[in-house]
Amino acid sequence: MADRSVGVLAELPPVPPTALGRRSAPAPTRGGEPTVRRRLLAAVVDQSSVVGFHQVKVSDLCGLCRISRRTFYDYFPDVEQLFVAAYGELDRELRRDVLRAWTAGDRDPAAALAALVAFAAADPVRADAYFVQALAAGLAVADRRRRTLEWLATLMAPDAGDRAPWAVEIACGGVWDVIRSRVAAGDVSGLRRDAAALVAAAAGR
Amino acid sequence: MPAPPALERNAPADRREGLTASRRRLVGAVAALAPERGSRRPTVARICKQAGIPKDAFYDAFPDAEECFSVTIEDALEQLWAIIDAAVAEAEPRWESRVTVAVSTFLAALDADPGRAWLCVVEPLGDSRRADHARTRLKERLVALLRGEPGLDGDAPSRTSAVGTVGSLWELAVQHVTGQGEELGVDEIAGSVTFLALAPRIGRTAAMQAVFTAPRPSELTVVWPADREHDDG
Repeated sequence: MADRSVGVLAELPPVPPTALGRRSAPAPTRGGEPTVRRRLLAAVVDQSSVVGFHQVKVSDLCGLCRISRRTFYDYFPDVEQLFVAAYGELDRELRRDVLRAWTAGDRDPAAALAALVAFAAADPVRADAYFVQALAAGLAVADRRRRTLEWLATLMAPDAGDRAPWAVEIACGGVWDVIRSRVAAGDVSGLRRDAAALVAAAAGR
Repeated sequence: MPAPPALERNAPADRREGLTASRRRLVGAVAALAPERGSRRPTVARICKQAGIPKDAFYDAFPDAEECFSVTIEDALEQLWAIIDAAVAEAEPRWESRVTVAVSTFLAALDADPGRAWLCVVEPLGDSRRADHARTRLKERLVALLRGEPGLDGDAPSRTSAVGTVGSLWELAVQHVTGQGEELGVDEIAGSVTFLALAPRIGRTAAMQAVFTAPRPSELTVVWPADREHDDG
């Protein structure tokens, strides 16, 4: 298992050098411009990463998106709900990447974990919003985060049915915490460097 | 067996002595407000009301709310370590005993005070700066405890393994404190994490025995140092 996981990681593509490192699909547009909703979703991810979720202000988001406060409240009741929506998008992206890797790897748990690590390493801004700022945004995000962890554990133990064994869930929690710590410390390159050992340790349990 | 050198005893008490009276009241107010907070942190006005001091006094004590939160979280984490450290010091001087006591005490302390539990376990996760550094300090102390000192029988867990185990404990604690997950009782978390920490070094049978004889978090009585100071007047 450990050797396979290292092999999977060795085949990961390099980090794409984009402005924000964001590699998600282009936002839906109207007349060539991202919609207000898409701009707000992107802005709250960026701002959370730069100043921390607790310091994100509606006025700053409006300035970044060049919209009025009234327009903001046409879309979201507050910053929390905006972040919950943005987190949901990131979560869907993560699940898509992990599921693709897991399926392509013939249901290999190490492939799924490697995709998780790659998601975190690919884009520091997105990773900070997803792994670090998430729990600052309240229980709605905490619930979604927990469900993703449980889902990840089911990929680690595909023959266990709807609920993975405790030990597998615990191992997934450990990987998640390590990833979060590295992202919070701004040590994404270190995460990528040590990913093989991390995945091997978790997959080998 | 000598006491583990990695444990820094009494540092929390020293730090608490550095807090002025008004700072302590404000820190206590933030801790008291933690259970009722939504996703937004309480305002300076709300903290002052809880502490029973005027707003001017707040800014004499702290430059801004952010600093107050950071100090509160750091203080809570230091108290948590003080609780664990004291319990480990009284445990049998065997590696597996210290590990089981540390895990059980960590979880029992969280259950004893939901407000400080939130401040210690959840709040730093949404903060990539000072609070998270304080969390990292505590995690490193737990990692050192798990790895044990050289000379013990069996291979010490690798750093990666120990970091992963502490991370697992933390993540399960998050789910417990946030009320997520139906089966996440502290006793079950303690048993699972302790077994995973011990089994690679002392074997599954011995690890199982250690789990069964370990103190259950739900049966431990924990008093946080700040509350003890309060009780002492």
